Amino acid sequence: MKLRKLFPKLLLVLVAFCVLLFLLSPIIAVVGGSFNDGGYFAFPPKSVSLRQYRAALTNKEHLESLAASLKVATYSTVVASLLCVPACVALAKTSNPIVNKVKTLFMAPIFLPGIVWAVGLLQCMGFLRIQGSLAILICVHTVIVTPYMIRIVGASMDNFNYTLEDAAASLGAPPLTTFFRITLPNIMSGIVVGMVFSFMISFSDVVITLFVSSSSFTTFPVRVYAAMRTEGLDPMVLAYSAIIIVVVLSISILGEKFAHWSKHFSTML
Amino acid sequence: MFRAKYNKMDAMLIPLALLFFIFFVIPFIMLLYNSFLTYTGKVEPGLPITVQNYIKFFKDSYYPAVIGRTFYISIVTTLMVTVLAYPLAYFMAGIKGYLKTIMLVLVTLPLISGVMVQNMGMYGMMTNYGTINLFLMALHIIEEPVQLLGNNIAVIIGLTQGFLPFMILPVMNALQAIPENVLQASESLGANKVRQFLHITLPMSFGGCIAGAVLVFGASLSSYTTPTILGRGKCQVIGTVVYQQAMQLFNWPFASSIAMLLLLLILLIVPITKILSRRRREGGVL
Repeated sequence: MKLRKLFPKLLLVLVAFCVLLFLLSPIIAVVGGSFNDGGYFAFPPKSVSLRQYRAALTNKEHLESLAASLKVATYSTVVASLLCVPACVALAKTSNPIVNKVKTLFMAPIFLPGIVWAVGLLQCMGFLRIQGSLAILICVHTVIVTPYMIRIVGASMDNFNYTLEDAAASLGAPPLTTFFRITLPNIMSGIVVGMVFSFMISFSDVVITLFVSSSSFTTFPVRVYAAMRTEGLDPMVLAYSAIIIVVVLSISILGEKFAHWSKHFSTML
Repeated sequence: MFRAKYNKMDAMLIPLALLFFIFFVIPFIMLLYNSFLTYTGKVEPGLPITVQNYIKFFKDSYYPAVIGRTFYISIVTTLMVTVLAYPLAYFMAGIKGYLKTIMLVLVTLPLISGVMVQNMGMYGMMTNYGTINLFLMALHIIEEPVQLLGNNIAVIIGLTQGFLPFMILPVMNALQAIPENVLQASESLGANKVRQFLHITLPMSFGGCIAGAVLVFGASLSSYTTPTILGRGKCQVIGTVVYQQAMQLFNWPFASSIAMLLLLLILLIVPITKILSRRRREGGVL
């Protein structure tokens, strides 16, 4: 009798575990394979060494593209937050349905296929004869991350109690003071989560950057992707990826613990 | 008549709207315009204006096969994702505390560590002396390494793994939203666990499944990196053909027309699923 009750639960746990293992298998393979001592991919590793890490940290080309990625992600995140926070305030305050329609435009990069947009961008740049540069990539990535920023900051604006603003105003605070002393501190956690999120979305983008970047300026994922397509898997890249995974994992743990940020995933999906 | 009132604050939308106009709206206009131009052999397309690019896509027997393959891969991926994600989402909806936090972090990890890392791991595991072949040989299921990469199945497996979080999260949310007292009520009326699941839990989480399915299906239709890496050039889908035409053959008008058709397909999915989920609601399950 007890077994009959316990069996479905055990089965569920077992199936759930197998699906989780399948979901995480590439990450496990990348991290495990990065410790293999040899010029090829092997997981489980044949013999363990830090050879890939040593090779990775002395490879100039990869380090350069990694620096480019970090630059693009940092700048586009900063630009996006500077543009999106005022936009979110305006969207929260407006009573005009036409203005509210603009929000649909800002959300569009999530819903429309990236490759379609990328082909359009490519042709605009070809028409103007401009090459992918840091400035272009920052602008494009700002557009990529805007929907996430708008959603996350917008959600924290929705939770904000506007009577606090009225209270500040009735006590004589000018609008800007009210914003910086009352509104901003209250939506700060949303802005921080949005920025971390934007950074990671920008850092890992492949499709759009692939069409927009030039041979002289490209990001890390695009360089790795191009090499993988033509030459297969270079085990040195595993070391970089393993480091990226560890960083992302630590950020997610902090984000989940302090800001419950997975709830933003669900509002976004 | 209703007259819209503009607020002074609305001006704060202008910088972002301007950026979107230049880098988002204009590219789509350019795409539409170029899709009607003629390929000149050089990078810049020229006049006259024609619909040849669209006709070429349907006339040639190669491209309908590409659409067929893309749909086949997307449909199978969506079904696989739904079947695999549901038990995990069900499990996650029923837990609390630290275990839940850990599970949420693990489930979203593939999503935010990027498609490149996922493709890299899958590629490594599927090579001739990769994890899967070694495992199967150790079990003596196969004696020689099997070619796993470079076919539709490899791409489907890769897409299924990458898009699982898109389904797990909405289904989990739908399951969590089911009120406890509905389940208690059915129990007090004598329903056993199986009936409860089939008549309450499953219908009430259907909306989450549809939401996830739209995301997965749309993302599969326009996928590009996974088919390229795991398909090794042998699995041509809409996304890879667009890339080929735009970046390797420089036939921008043709690339634009294929991209426009893809956009049309994606825009058609949303109303169809809306109708689907409405019919379900009107169907009167609760």
